[in-house]
Amino acid sequence: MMIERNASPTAPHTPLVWGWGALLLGVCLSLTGFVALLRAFGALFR
Amino acid sequence: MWPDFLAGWIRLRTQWRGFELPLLASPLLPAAFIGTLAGEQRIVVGCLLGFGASLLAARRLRRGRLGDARFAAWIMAVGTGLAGFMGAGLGLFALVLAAGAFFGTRHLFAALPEHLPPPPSPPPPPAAIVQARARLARVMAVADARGDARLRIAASAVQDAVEELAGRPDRLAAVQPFLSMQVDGLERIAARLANGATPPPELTPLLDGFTTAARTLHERIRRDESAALALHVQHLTERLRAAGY
Repeated sequence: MMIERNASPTAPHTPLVWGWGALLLGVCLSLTGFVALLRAFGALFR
Repeated sequence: MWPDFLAGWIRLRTQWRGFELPLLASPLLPAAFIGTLAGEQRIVVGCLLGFGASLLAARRLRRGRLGDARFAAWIMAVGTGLAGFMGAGLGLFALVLAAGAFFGTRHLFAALPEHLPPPPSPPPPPAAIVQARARLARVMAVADARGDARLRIAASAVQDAVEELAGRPDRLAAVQPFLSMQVDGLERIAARLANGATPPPELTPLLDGFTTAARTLHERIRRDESAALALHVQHLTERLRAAGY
């Protein structure tokens, strides 16, 4: 709700909101993917 | 300059909205592949569920309707949580990652335009109305070809009544026999005239009778609607008064 209220296409801080979003999502998803990849490799060479 | 750049960037992002998600979730695919080679079913299922959720969220975002970004964020949270728990084996830390994916998606697609869903299309008119329209159109074509003004006026009056009934299908059943008689009659008259029949002198008063009957029906429907509205207004006024206003 807060995001919708604060972020607007014309607000100067909107790219900053996107940047934080990209960073947060990127870290969480990529971390999950790479840990899963490492785990799969671990299982393969065990 | 900055607003122009921002507007252009928003247009570009709106055009490509959602494609970032499968891209960011792509490490899950080789993980699923290696998991298959290792024979680890849990890793494979977790990774495929995570990647599938990113595809589903992207599809939802591409639609761009109001509330889709929020829904996509929830899908990403569930997908990341499942991939983290089953694929990466992170236990409860997967909840933290799911929350990160949720807020990350919400922020990443904040302020991108979302449009309202289209209003539901009105129900199609009953088959009887569609048929009556087509038959009356044929009658009018014959009347125009012959330059027969009375037949044209009669068909037009019946068509007005039909259009009035199209908006009130509940009234159709009561007047359908009468309407069918009129449409049938006009259609037969038009067919005979088109075949070269000479109109008898009684045809003119008959067509005038058709016109009058159709106009009366039209007016009666309107009058009944007005009476129903007056009754409704009176009822609401009384309720308002009874409530003390």
